[in-house]
Parts: sequence; C-alpha cells; structure tokens
Amino acid sequence: MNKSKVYITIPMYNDEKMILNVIKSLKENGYNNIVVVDDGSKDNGYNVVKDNTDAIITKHIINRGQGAALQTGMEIAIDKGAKYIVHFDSDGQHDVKDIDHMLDTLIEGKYDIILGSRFLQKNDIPLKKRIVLKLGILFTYLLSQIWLTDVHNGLRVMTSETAKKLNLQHDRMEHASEILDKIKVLNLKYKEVPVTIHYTEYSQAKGQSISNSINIAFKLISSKLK
Amino acid sequence: MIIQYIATGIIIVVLIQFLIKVLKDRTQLIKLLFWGIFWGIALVFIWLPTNTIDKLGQLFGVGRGIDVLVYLSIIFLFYYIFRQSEKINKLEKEITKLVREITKERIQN
Repeated sequence: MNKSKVYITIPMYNDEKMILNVIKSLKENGYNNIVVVDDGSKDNGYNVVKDNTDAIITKHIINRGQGAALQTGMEIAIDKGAKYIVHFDSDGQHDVKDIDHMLDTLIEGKYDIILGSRFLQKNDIPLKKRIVLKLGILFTYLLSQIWLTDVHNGLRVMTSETAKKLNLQHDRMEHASEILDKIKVLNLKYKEVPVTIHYTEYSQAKGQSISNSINIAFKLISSKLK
Repeated sequence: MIIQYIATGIIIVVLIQFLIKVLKDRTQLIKLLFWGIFWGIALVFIWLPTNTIDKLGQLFGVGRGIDVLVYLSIIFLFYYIFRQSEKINKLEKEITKLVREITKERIQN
C-alpha cells in the first residue's frame, strides 16, 4: 500500500536510548512520515532525533503527559495532510510489522480505528502487568460499556477523521481509556487485532505502576461525574 | 473555655497575615474582606453562649450546636476542595493548550 499518507505519531519522554532504533525500524519498513513529540524530556532525546534523523520533531517546553503529546502529534500530522495516523510508543515495545496488517484491516474493513491487543496472540506478559491489565478491562467495561481484550495498548491505527473526532482532553495516561470511551460514545467502527509487545527490562522499568493505575481510575471516575 | 481563646488566637494570627498581605498588595483587598467576614462569623459563633448555639442544634435536629458547626464546616471544606480541583483542572487544560501552540510553532524538519 501507499504509505505516503500514513503518519506515525510518537510521544517521547526520556527515551533517548531507544528512539533512534524505533525511527530506524519505521523507516526500514517504509514509514517516512514520523512525528515525534518530545514531552518535556530531561534527557537529550530531542537533539538526538533532530541531529540524526529527518523525522518531524518538536518539544513540549514542559511535561504535559502522554495524552497531551499524542494530541499535539495528531494535530501536526493532520496539518501535514495525514490520511491515516498511527500511535506508536518510543520505548521499543511495539513491533513495526504490526502496523502493516493493522492498516490493511482498517482500509479493507472500512473501520474508523484499529486497536492493538497483546492478549489476542501469545505474548510473555509479566504476571503483575497481566493482573493490572485484566482489571483495566473490567474497569473499562463498567465505565464505558465496551468489552475489549486489551485496554491500555498504545498501538493504534486510525483515519485522520477519527483522530479529529477523538480530540483528546485527558493529558496523562487516562487518554487510553478516553479513546475507548469516545469509540463507544461516537459509535466508531473499531476492531482489535493481535500485536506483539516486546517486554524488555527497559520498557518494564518505564511501564505503569499499580498506584498509577489507581490514580488513572480515580481521574476517570471523577471526569465521568462532572 | 480555653478552646475559645486558642481558636480566637489562631483567627487573629490568620487575619494579621492577611492584613500584611493586603498592605503589600492592595489588589488583595476583596479577598481580605471575604475572609474577614468569614472569620468574623466564626468568631461570633465561638463566643456565643453555649445554650444559644445548642438552640441552633435543636433547630437542625442535631443534639449539640457545636456539632452543627462541625458538620457545616465539613460540608464547606468539601465544597471548597471540589471548587479548587475544578479550578486546577481548568488551569491544567489551559497550560496544555498554551504548550501545544508553542510546540506547533517550533516544529523542526
């Protein structure tokens, strides 16, 4: 397929060690439109990307959270003429090869959004992470009445129209649940597809803690009560 | 009762602090007026005779008058926290909007 209208949006926070590998693998697979939003990192990631790649790079002058960085990235991609937008993590957890079949599914099935699921294929998910994610599935169902196999997977592919409709309001990690909530509310056509997640020591150290999951749940409930 | 003197002392300290702030920055005058009235009412309640406050308690169907004041204070505090968190959320959204605009102007490549 023609990948010239596909824009990869990468929110980056203190990932100078991994970001070049991520961009390199995307380029090798024909994804040349890459938007990296440095979310106020304390490391040198911004300069690493600027000096070593031709990816579109910009920086939040202060840290605003992954949701805010994704929204900034999506707005830039739309301004640049994106037809399809991909959410991709900067820590090397995602597999570039998954984007191909997600895009194919999106286009062939005329879906609005395709969500990656680590539970639809064999992934060696650490037990603690597995429990938190399963609780997240239940929580999402109770809050948004949408039953999925994976609710906090950062790999998503969508049309630019969908990206415009999503218009993320939650700046921090709650954006993942906000997307699912909006899929339900806006009646978007979606599908979950199996994806590979590479759990490394590096990505594990950067992952969500249980206390942060509780914090996310609290923020989502209070936003629902408004 | 000794508690009345302690509470009065604390209120006076708070009001003096506010007064010093207002002397440094006149724009805070309205704030001082609001808190002056608020703490003034608190002082009145502190020094009202016990049986007068208890009548208030009976009016609300709560045994002692002081309990009514405690309940009202808790309601006020919850409301105040709610309003403050709303304000913080709004500010957070505005900061993000501002940061995003600056970010979009500084795109490289």
